[in-house]
Amino acid sequence: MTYAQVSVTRSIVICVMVLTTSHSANEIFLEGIEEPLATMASAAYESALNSDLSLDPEHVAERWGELGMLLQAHNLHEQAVAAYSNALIEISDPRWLYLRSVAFGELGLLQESIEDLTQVTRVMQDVAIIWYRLGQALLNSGHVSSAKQALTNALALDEDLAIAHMTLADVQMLDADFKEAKTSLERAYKLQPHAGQIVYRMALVERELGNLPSSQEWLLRRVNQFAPVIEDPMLTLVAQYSTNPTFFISAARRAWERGDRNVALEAYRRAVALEPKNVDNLIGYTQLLTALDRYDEAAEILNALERVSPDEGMLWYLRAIVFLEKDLVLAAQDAIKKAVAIEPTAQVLALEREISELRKYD
Amino acid sequence: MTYNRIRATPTARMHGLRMLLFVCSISPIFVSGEIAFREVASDAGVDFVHQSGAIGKRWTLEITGAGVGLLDYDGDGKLDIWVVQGGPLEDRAGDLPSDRLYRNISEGSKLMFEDVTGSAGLGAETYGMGIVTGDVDNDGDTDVITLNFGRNQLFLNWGTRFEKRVDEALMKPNEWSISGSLADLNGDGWLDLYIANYMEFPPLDEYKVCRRLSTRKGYCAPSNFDPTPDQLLLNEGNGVFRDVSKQSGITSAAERGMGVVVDDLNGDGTPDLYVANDMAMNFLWLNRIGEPFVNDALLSGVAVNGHGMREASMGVAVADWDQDFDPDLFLTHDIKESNTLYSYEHAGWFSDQSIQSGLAPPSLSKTGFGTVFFDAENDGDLDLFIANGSVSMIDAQLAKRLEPPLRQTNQLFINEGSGKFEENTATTLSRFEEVSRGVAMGDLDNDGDVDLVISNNDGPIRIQQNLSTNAIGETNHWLGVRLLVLGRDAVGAVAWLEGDIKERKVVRTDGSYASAHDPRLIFGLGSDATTPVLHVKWPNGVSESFSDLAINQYHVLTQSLP
Repeated sequence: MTYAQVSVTRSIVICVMVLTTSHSANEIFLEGIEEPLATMASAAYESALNSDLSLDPEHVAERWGELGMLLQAHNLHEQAVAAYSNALIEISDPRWLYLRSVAFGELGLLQESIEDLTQVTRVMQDVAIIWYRLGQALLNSGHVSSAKQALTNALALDEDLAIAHMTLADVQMLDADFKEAKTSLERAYKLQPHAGQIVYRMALVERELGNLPSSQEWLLRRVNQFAPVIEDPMLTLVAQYSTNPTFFISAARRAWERGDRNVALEAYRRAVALEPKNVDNLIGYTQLLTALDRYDEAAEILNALERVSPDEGMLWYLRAIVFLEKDLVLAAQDAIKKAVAIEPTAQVLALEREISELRKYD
Repeated sequence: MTYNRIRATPTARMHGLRMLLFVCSISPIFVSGEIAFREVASDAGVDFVHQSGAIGKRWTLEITGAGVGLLDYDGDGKLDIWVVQGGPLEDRAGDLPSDRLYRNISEGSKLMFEDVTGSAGLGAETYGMGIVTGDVDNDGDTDVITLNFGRNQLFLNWGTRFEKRVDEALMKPNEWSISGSLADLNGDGWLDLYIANYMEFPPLDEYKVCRRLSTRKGYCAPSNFDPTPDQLLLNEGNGVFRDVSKQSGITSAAERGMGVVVDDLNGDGTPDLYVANDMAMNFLWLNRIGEPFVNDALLSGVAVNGHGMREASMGVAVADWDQDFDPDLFLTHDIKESNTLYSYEHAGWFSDQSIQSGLAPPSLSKTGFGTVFFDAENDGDLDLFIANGSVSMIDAQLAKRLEPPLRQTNQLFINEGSGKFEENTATTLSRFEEVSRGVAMGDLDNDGDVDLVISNNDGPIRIQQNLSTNAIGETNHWLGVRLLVLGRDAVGAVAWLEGDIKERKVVRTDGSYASAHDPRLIFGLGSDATTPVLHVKWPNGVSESFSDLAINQYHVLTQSLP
């Protein structure tokens, strides 16, 4: 995704800078933050605050924007909003508007988020993910028909955006158009069958259509509450500003739940890189990879896990899954036996039964 | 005192109105159209300030409590206030602050209370969280169960004084209980007790402060602690409880329970349990008398929100807000999660109406706790109040050195009558920026409208006296009833007025967050001065009708003997 910048007449911007940067910039509150973030954030803040006013305003805005991303990456959303706002005082750059809209969203400030997203869509009309986010925000605020239009725009730009199909189904359900909603959800499900949120909505729509057994079947099929995954390069960029290993795990989970696959993967990858012997992280990363059908990468992480903790039950359970996906049923059976011997959980025993069934047809 | 003696005669009402106009002229009240409230706690002699025990260590425990209960403990027809106290957490020795009981000594519309904590026999032993009220020994007065971090306590009421009863089933030593509900779950005539337990909490000297992603020290999220199972205690008679948690099936799942209500949530005529769980799927325990309860929340559409997402559920209210004669549920949630309104569609199915009702968007920037449906202006439909207070530190307040840095304003939503609610920010209900937790509703001045009492974490209690009028400056008409069975409030009885619109009202004291309500029912009649016909379905399933009930006063109605 390319984030075009709006050109602003330089002389006007410099005039604004003189009036605002050193005197009117929103304060950034950094007290209580610890190293290494404290040093980085303070330095970035100083750098932005003391920008040479003769610099290109885009350059000054960039400093505020980078500070905003650093803060946003650490869930300092109030401060991120302040930093992006300072960037936007310098120049109306849709990157900072977009990221500010996400930060507003994290603070539950829906109207502010919508205003920023609306502005972004005016200058970036061909980015599906932005239209989707606008549609989602409009829907959450109760503007159903506007939401429908934004989501339709998103899907016109990217018909494989499962989360937009799913959200469009929400709109259609609100309009009591349950057949259309079912069609939208079927499209979403075809694209991303692992997303529990799609599955849950399938249950809802079947219920509304009077298909109770089918509804219950969908409900029982729901094993997670994940949204369909989406790819958002700007948020991936934000994630890279993080310095805290714990951040990555939490960020990965949050990103996965909201459907940002790349952000989740990148966050987990970084967590594992920072703590290569953390068993929980290795298991979590492997689970994520297997959920995304990235079995070769999962196998590599499992090798690392085996080196760290060979007696980990989950190691052998996940190995069995990877082997199964590669049609190596015998190897899977050996792996699951080890898992059963170490920790015969219900999950492990269920997989063992499944593999035994498969072996009957060898 | 009988209820007839507190009847608001037309003359008295006019006098009240003149007094109101006088009061309006000398003290600032916030009026929006006909909706008006005035905060009167200090003026009324209620000086309670909650102490969380916070000493800068950011214990999650310190931001969780506490609630408030409204009960007529001395049977004089006026609602008294029981406020739950926390106190120090680190060193609970010596002279501890106690729960406080304020006796209502009001005359007319001027609210006045006296502190009777000592004479009523309250004592501080544990760090308080919530309160449950009901007549557990069927002797005609209201008993109290306090839910605590530590042992829960049963206070039996002997008219003007409470006696603490040692009950091993009730008083497990290490539970962290927040909300509870008293209801006759097995139909034997005695009120049984469900306790929503929250989670395990380590000894304070072992507590490790959590660092947020920002690296700042902050309150640990509940996910850092293991949930504890809830408790179901059967009343075997005279308030002697037996723990049947395991046999009843309710320990088959454990989450972090924060709120609980009892109602018939699948239309089979038996009371069910709905539990609001923090950061987890909620429970709907269906009552199959004689069989273990079964959790039907997911299949009924009330485990997660309409997006399939579990949320941080805190408080819960149940009421027939859309007047289609069935129970709807409303849950409060954390910031960025919307509060959720589940509308009862048919037996076994609720739908998420949060967006359509207009309640979702204004909730996204707040963290809701206590909540009540009530008819603010007695116009005949239910409005909604939400007590808010963050659980995550707010930077702007940290910067100003405000403690606790969790302050938010509360919210009042007016029912527009078309399936939508509109936020009203003009009254004193939305005036204070505090860390609100509990809210209890009841008619403190017996003038026929619902007043609210709000508890604040590390802050003062707020009494919001309802001064609402209709568009032409008069109070709307109303009908008040207290329904009795076996000499006690008929918890679970359903009442409605004859007419095209049937709003289902249920006698209850549960709901909200850690709080207990006035069990009386008030029907707002608007400008209609016609004498209504009241229908009651008693807890044993027998129906009865009452006509010739004069409006603008309370009536005590007892189930007729067969």
